[in-house]
Amino acid sequence: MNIFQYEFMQKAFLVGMTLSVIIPMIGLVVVLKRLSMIGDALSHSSLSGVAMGLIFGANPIFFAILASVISALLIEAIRRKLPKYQEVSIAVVMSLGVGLAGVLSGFVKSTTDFNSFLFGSIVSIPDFEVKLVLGVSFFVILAFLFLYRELFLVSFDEQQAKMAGVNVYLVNFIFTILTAVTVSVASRTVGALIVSSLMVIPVICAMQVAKSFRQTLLFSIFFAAIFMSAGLLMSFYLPLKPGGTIVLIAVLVLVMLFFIKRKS
Amino acid sequence: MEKIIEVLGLSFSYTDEEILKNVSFTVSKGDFLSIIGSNGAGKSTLLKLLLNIIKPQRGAILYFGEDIEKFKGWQKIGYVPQNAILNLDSFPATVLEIATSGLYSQKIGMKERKKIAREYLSKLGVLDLEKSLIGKLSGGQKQRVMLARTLAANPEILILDEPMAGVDQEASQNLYGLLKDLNEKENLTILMVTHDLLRASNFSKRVLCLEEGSLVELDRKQIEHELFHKHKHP
Repeated sequence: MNIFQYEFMQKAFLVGMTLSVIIPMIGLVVVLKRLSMIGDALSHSSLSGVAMGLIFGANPIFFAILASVISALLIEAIRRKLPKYQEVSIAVVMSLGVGLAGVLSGFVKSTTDFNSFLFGSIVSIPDFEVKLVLGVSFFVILAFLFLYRELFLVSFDEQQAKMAGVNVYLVNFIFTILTAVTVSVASRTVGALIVSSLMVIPVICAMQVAKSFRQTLLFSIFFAAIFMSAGLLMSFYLPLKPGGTIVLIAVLVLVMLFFIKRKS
Repeated sequence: MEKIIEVLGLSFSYTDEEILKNVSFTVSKGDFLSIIGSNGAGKSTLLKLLLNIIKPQRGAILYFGEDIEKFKGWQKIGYVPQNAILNLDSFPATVLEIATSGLYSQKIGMKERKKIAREYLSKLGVLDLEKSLIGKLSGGQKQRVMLARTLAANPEILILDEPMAGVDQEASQNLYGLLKDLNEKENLTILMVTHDLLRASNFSKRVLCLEEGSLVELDRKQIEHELFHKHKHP
């Protein structure tokens, strides 16, 4: 049986492969800035936007993006105020997002719609959302490539980046927006509870094998694409949910890489 | 002689107790000045003030005669932080990628960037490691890469915060010698913050001691006295 004869699988692979490029791109900087939990915080916050969208009968993704962007800016603001306690900003915003999502979900009429955002619905994406993912991804890739050198410097050392002439505030602001938008569109497809894993695990896997910064980026995308394809294939042939399957495969590969590296 | 840094009557406190009390000193072109002091003496606070990370309650800092608040020429200041080599352990970049990133402010192409970076890596004796991941290097090698990265940007002054932290004895001896050469042969101005009085006095031209928030310049006799005292009561 050729799975690509089904339109929904064609769309799932198209969206999955596109997200496999942008999620690890953002993830690489997130990991190097030691803000790995930011994906979790933003995806949980985006759920409050989803709930709001569903309550008001509007497109939940737009509200998710809005909630995620506000949360990301809040994290950045707290991080700047309390530079020694960066993780606190993430915990505070995540608590706020989860709390709001929990309360608002009680007013959502269709729990099925809300649940699809928790674990994703990559195999039932409407055409409009496919276009949205493609459009957002194009914008994220372009911005990332344009800011490649600045993001390298800011991930390396913010103080030195500032002294070298990088507008650290602006770069962090743009990156925060990119992260929020990426997390929001990915939440709809791979699931809010899963997107942060896809942001971090491919990067950690890449760091086990790559020999340079550029290779780490390319390997991160490669691993994400492999996890995404394997997860989609398995969930097609077996009675498994795609989002969870993708993450479980990613964790398994990471454990194997750790094991192989330790052995060698 | 051209004054690169002027610190004028600087005072700073986080709480009621002043960490820096009316600190003044000047760094001129060609100086190799070490600021020594034990842990908690206020060295890190002084550096944060010099880098404009925190603001003083009283006093002023001038770079090239210009107030730090208005100073825009930070590219002329080469800074190697204390924890630089420790943070490098998990950073997935090659020695060459790290070295070329130091040339951000220069409006030149990647080919030229690589050429300059290689030139400085060679000068610092680590060119053969250009393709290695920075995290795989020893402490001394990482510090050489960081110095090459900073020097490649052609700074007017090098500010070093505990440059030998995490570097073994032999490598640090070599690195100090290298700094001395850069200062004497290329007239590079160096401001180093360290707790190592012995090496600071052996390699730098001037030694300032920060103690209980006050800064005093030590002459040769005072340095010998301090070293003797330290040797007897380490």
